Amino acid sequence: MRAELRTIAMVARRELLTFRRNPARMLVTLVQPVAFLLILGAGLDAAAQAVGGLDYRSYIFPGVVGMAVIMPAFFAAGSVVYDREFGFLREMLAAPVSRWSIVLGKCVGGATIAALHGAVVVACAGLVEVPYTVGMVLGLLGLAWLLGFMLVAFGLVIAARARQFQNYMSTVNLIAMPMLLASGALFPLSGLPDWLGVVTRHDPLAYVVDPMRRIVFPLLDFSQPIAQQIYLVPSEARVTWGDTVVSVWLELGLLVGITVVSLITAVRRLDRDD
Amino acid sequence: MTDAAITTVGLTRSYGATKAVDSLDLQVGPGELFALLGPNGAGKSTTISMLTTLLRPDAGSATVAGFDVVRERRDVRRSIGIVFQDPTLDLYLTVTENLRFHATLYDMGRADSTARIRELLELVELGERRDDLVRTLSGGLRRRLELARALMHRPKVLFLDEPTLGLDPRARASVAEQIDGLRASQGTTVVLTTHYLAEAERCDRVAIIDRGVIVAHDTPDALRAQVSPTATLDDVFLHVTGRPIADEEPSLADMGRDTDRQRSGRG
Repeated sequence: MRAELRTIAMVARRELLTFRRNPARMLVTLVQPVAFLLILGAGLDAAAQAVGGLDYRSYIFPGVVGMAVIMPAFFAAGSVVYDREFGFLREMLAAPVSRWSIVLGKCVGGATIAALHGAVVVACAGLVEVPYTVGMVLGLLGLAWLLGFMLVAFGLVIAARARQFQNYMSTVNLIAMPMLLASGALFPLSGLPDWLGVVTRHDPLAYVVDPMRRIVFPLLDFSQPIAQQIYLVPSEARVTWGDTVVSVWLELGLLVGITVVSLITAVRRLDRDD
Repeated sequence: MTDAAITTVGLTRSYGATKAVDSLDLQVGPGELFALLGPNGAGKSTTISMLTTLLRPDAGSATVAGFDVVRERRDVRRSIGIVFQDPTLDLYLTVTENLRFHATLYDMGRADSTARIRELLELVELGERRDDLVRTLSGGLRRRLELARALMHRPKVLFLDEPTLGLDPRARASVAEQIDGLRASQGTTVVLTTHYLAEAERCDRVAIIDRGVIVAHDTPDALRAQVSPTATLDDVFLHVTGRPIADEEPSLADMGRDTDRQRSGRG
């Protein structure tokens, strides 16, 4: 058991080491979320001002924290494809350790890298009129880490079977953008067309963005009636199943559930003869 | 029987309709330098994959260092070192970091692995490159590092799958020298696969494998004596299979194939 834990730590450390030696990667993956927050946010904020004096940039802030986690997490999972292409995966698979340790190590390392990206967006809170509180910072980072963990696990399911990094990345890109848009990270969940409401309820990201919003929104000033109407009503714009508002615990449970299923699938796929 | 380093009985593995390895019976004694000699596609790598627990046999059984390769995978893995045909180093970690990672996978203590890294790097003459990224190392040096890594956890049996494939003649000679040195200092049983006759010539015993079947199995001297007093292993191969083995020097086509494989990952 101790040996397995040390292996998990070592696999995670390797991810971080490789990441640290290539800091430019972080810059590249952060351009998009920061551009969304500052540029798209500012542009749409101008439009929103005309409607009723609400700050759209603070509104999308929690969603963009989630967004910043997506690509680095998928990237980290993709390292398995690289490891396969360049042979290092065999060194790990031939060793007297469980596949679980390899997979969990990738998740821990990848989630940490992903949360670091989230942290850069969290640090931007002041720029978009979100006040800094200890609870906000820790809460968002914790959720970013969990989201990262889930996405690495999910990415590994694809990566365990992919033979080329390019194929993996194009598959993942295909998933990432719709996942972001459908999660409602960038718009209110109230008053959506029926079909989009259905899609949103099936998007795992929605169940992470929602608790992030629950952390951030109490800090914001939604005093304008129009803001309340658009952003907070009905049911304070929570994710709902029928008439029930989904609780934070259920959301976290879903997150854990998807993670566990992904982990089991990834381990099975790695274990197959090839 | 029980103290044999490797015993296989009727070991078989097919890919679709082709039998890559067909009812293989082998015995390798402790401390032996043993060669599996055969042309490309003869079933050498498949045999090694089964003996190293990476591939399950369809039929038959095998024990390595006294452990069953199917039922006692973990114990087999702990007892063996492997240098794969294709490189398996992390190019973006340093020499030491690659060895450190390996030590963790094989549950070695910190102090032990530190001492072992120093000792082995000295042995393969890579001490001065210890903090360099592996990607800055030449092919020959990388192969030496893989040898050192395979020995980190003091395996009882060392598997070398085409240890000199894709190396130029000078690097090849140097790797051969390293293997001799390691054997002298560590006393490990070594099983290597090769299609270079000169490499098989240096071994204690040779099994010639062709189309998944062992066609001859003895010391190089005895194998030659069966054919004629002046025979070479080349003649032996011709004699037992009816065809010449591939050229001793890799052909251009061969080398092209190797680089292709390295580029696309695995063979």
